[in-house]
Amino acid sequence: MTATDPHEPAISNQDRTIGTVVESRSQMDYLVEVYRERDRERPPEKADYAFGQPVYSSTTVQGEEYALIGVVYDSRLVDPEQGRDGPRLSNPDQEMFVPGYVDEKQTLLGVAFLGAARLKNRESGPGSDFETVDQELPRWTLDVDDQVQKLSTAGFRAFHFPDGNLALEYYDRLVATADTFGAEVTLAILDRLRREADTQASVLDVIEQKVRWEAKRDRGVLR
Amino acid sequence: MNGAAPDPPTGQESAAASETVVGTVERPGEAADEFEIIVPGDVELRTGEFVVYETEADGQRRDVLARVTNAEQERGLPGEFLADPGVDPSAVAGALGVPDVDSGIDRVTARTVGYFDAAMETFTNPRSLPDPGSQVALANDAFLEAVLPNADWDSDSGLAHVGWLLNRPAGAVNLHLPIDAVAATHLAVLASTGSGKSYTASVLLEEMLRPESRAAVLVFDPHGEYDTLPEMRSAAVAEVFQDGDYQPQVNVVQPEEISVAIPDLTFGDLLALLDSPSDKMKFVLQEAWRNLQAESNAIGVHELVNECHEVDDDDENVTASALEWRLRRALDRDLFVRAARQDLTDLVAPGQITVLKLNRLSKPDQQMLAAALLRKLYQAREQATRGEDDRLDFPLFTLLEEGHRFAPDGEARSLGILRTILSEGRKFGFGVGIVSQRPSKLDADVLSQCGTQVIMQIQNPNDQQAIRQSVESAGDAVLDELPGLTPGQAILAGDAMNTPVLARIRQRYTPHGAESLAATQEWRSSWDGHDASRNRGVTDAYEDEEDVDETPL
Repeated sequence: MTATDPHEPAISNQDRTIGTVVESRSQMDYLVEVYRERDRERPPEKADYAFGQPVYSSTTVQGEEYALIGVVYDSRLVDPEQGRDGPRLSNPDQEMFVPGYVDEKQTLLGVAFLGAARLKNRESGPGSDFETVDQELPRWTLDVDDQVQKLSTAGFRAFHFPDGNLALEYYDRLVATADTFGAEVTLAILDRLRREADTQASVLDVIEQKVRWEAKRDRGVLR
Repeated sequence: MNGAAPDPPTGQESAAASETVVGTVERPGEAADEFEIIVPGDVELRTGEFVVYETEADGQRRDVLARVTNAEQERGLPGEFLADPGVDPSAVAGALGVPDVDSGIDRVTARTVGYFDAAMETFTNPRSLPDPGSQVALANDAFLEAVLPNADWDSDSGLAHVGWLLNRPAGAVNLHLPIDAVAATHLAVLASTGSGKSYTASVLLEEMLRPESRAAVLVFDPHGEYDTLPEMRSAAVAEVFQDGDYQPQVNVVQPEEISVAIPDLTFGDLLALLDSPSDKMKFVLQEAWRNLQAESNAIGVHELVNECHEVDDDDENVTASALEWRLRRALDRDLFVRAARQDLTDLVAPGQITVLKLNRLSKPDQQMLAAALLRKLYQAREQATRGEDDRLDFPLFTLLEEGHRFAPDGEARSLGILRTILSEGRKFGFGVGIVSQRPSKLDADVLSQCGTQVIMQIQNPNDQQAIRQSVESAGDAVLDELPGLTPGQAILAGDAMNTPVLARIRQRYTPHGAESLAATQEWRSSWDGHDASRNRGVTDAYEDEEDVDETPL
């Protein structure tokens, strides 16, 4: 068993669903479309899919339940109408005459999947814990329309402290995938680790320094 | 106190390479006989360690010995992981999924020594480096023990167990110096103060006095550092030093017992003792000295003075009077005696060590004494070798502590005879050991004639330079080690060794007599011993009123 909050499961059906997979750009780099207001009974709020938000998507491989753990590293707003010089049917204050264009506006998220955890259902109560955590490149792909959920604090902690020690083994892959904001998304994770896992703060400091220095050097601030 | 000395190896047949493979040859190094090995980070190969590779030479597979000269990190954790001294870098490495510290690799440079040629009994350079990709193993302990010293294990000649190979566990590779080679080609023990040079010299002396060697040794000891050697006769170490009837004789001669026979001096010695003599005085003295020497071998200061008066043909005897004053001032002391030394066996005899404690003599007197004694002994050895005289029909070894006093880079009465003994002594069985903490102050000829060197920690650049220039066997690889040696660690090099090695000197059997003065302890006990009235603190100069001159000014 990995270190998990005994009271809270790593993942549960209470986790807020953020959106669905619409495209993948590489083995670990996915595009997720955020549910809009009318898609869900409990649509996600902006804070639920902020930059650096840990997420997961469950999948079943050969009868075993896995959760692929990822992080929001980018976002893009898409408006199909933008630049289109189409007819206007009514004024903005007469909404009921406007056809369904509004719903085609999308919020797309870049999600980097960092690793996988094998799930084990709780014997008492709902939810599952992480039985094993693997921070190597995920071996399986998700499918289009797979749901992506917000990862709980307990799940975030369980993923990063698989054997009690801090693990950020995906760091180099994340930086390479997130490209422009590689440093920032790493810093966001470090920041969350510092808030939600109070141990090993000094190790986090050393890593943060490294990330900041590398970013400043790569971007030409330092030589 | 340690137990009996370990047995020397019996032959040179051991396999050269041990089972422990430590690395893989990557490529040739910068120098012609260098190559580089890649070594896993968890294997420690220190400089001075011996490794073995296999190569082909003269149509045969040969195991070639090489010495590690440098080790540097080829791959390791980056500096940014070490940013916080409070954070274990392996925790950072572990968090980021970087393989642990042990997965670092080192690049080690080694220099070929050669394969051991049993017929030549020394190393032969195969002039071929190992192929890239070939394995390098640690050299076998037993092999090193047998081939590092230049010794003939089959003969029964004496061996000095001086210590162990550094870098290996204590006792794993015993180092035995062949005493014959040390005595024949002379010895230099060079080390800065406090690094254990007289300790090391004592270890050698102990070994020379063991039943297997029974040497005849004379020690010139200006500081009284060797007066614990009589402990060799104690029961505690009987196992080491006694064999049947044999037991080492130790004769510590106290300063007041030491004398120089005036007939043993030369005219040059006499002149050196006199205060600026004039040419006339020199002439008169030479005549008188020649006359007296022809007549007898008992010359006192009175005879010398009288003879000078006889020789001086001047009416007023001015020259002889002036000489008389100078001669009496120089020679009319307890140090100089009338009768020439006839019997030398009270000084030197097989199985006997004589320690001359010179600590109350002035430096010129020490030099004069050494010159007179060494000259006498050398003449006796020359005559014995030619069959003219059998007083000293055995070889001698003499050790000069503070060797720069007796053979300085400058003037000293003893320098000439020492130069002679060092260059010619081999023929007459007269070995010299020079112990010095200032190699740069030693006469360069004397230093370069010492064929075997025991070199310990030396920081002073001038001294390092002197060793570099005078000691042939000391390569740069060896000299680079000098500043980093700690007390008790030494480089053994020269004729007694097939290749220079780093050694840890063994513990003495006898207690060490050359500790530094414990100043604070001495002050405390000295204070206690003083008269209480002198320990009152401030002394009032005017307390005793009678002493005060009250006359108004």
